[in-house]
Amino acid sequence: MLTKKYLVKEKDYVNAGKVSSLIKKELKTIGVDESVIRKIAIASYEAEINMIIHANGGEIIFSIDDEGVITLVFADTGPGIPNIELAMTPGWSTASDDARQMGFGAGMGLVNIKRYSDTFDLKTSQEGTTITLGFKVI
Amino acid sequence: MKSVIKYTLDKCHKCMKCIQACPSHALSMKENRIVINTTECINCGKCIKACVNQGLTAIASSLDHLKDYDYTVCLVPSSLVAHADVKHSVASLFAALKKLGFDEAISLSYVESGLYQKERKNKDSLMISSFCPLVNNLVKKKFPALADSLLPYDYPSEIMAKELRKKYKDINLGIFNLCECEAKLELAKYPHNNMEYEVDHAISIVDIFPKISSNLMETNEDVDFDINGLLLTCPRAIKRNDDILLENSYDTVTNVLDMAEFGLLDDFKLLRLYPCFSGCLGGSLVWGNGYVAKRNLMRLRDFNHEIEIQIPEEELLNKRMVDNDKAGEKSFKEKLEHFNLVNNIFEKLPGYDCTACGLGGCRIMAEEIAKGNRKLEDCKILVKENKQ
Repeated sequence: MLTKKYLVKEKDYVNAGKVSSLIKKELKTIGVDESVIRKIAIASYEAEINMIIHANGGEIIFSIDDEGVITLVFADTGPGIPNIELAMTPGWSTASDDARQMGFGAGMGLVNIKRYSDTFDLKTSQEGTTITLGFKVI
Repeated sequence: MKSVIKYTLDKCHKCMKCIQACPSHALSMKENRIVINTTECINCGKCIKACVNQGLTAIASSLDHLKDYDYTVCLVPSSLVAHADVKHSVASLFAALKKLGFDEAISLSYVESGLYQKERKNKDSLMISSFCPLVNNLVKKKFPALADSLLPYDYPSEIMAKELRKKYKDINLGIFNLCECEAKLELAKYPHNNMEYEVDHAISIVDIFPKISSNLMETNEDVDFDINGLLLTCPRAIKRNDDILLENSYDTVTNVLDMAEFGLLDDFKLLRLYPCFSGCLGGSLVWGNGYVAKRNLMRLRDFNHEIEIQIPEEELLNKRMVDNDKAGEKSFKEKLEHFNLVNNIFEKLPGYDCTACGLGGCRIMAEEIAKGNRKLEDCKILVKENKQ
């Protein structure tokens, strides 16, 4: 069993993706299968960027159990997602203009996160959003 | 991967610069000598540049072997041709190479250009050009999730060598490949980590360059080369194309591969990555500098000399790609246990990454302690802190 916790700061575009890079590096060091690493990398990067541009930052908890299930929890303290159905529609985005100028906000975030993860759970309220992703190591 | 780098000093000055420069943590110090882990080394050549005492060098073959064969062919990489400043001197370069004792000198530019035409036709998803052995090594070792994106083509020198073997099948043929960098030396000896190869000898360009330049002279001979193949040696000389991402330094190349792994470059069709500055023109074993060579290359551009590649598609494919050996691999549970063990040891270490223990950093030290090769007391900082 392994658990690691990382903090993500609000509007910290400069460090965007760093936690996902660290997680990716850890997975490579452990020796996780490359196809699983790719799925986790893509989903984790999207979720991390979401925390930075839409929410007020938060924390990412990365854990692996002995059975080979990797869990990633992205917990933010942002405004929540008012309409989950819309947010899960490909191409739909609420990203601010400055986020779009940075190249983010194509409206594929949540869609891709769900597509690349084996299990996907989303809980949202006005106090924040928590996304829990599960991946099975082959 | 097989290392072509060797350590030559009897006693080291212990500056640890090479160990710190190695991106693969393949170098360590044992009993005042640098030891190279040949399976971890990716032949990037960073340690050779880092050593202030010229203690590390690349192992290359020599021209003495010319006498072992009845007929010898020299494969000339485009980056060497591009160092010649006008078309006349390209012919004179080839004549000079023959004066060294080769029966024939052939430019690799046709194969290089032909492969690029094929690479550009890829329209499906993001692919990575496999012409550079260092990029191949990097992908396989550090970005394994991208291994499926490597294009299936063989290295230009191997393709050309196979063609030559067919053409001269009844002759005792010796194929000599002139190499621009350490990774190409590896490629000639062990293409794709395989012990089978078509090229007989890998020659370092710097080793023979003094002989080439003393042989340069006026000649009326005509030389065949493909200007597009020459332009491909330098990413800045290649025509801009929205679908192709070109990069030319080790750090930008690793950055690009990192982004590709996150799926951020899927809009591109082709990553053509050159870890050397100015591309292959700036290879560490190339005589001369990349700036001048690039200017010369731009002048050569005016000689429009294109030849269509005549080699059939299947001959261009690399059929010997060795898959990562998965047999004998530990179970996931064992891997995780080992990782946790290393992590626990790592937390006890000071974390300065000072490399005074002779290893590439505290993480590598923790790994070696976990394997039983080192002890915690081998950490000089810990020992000092404990004494106080």
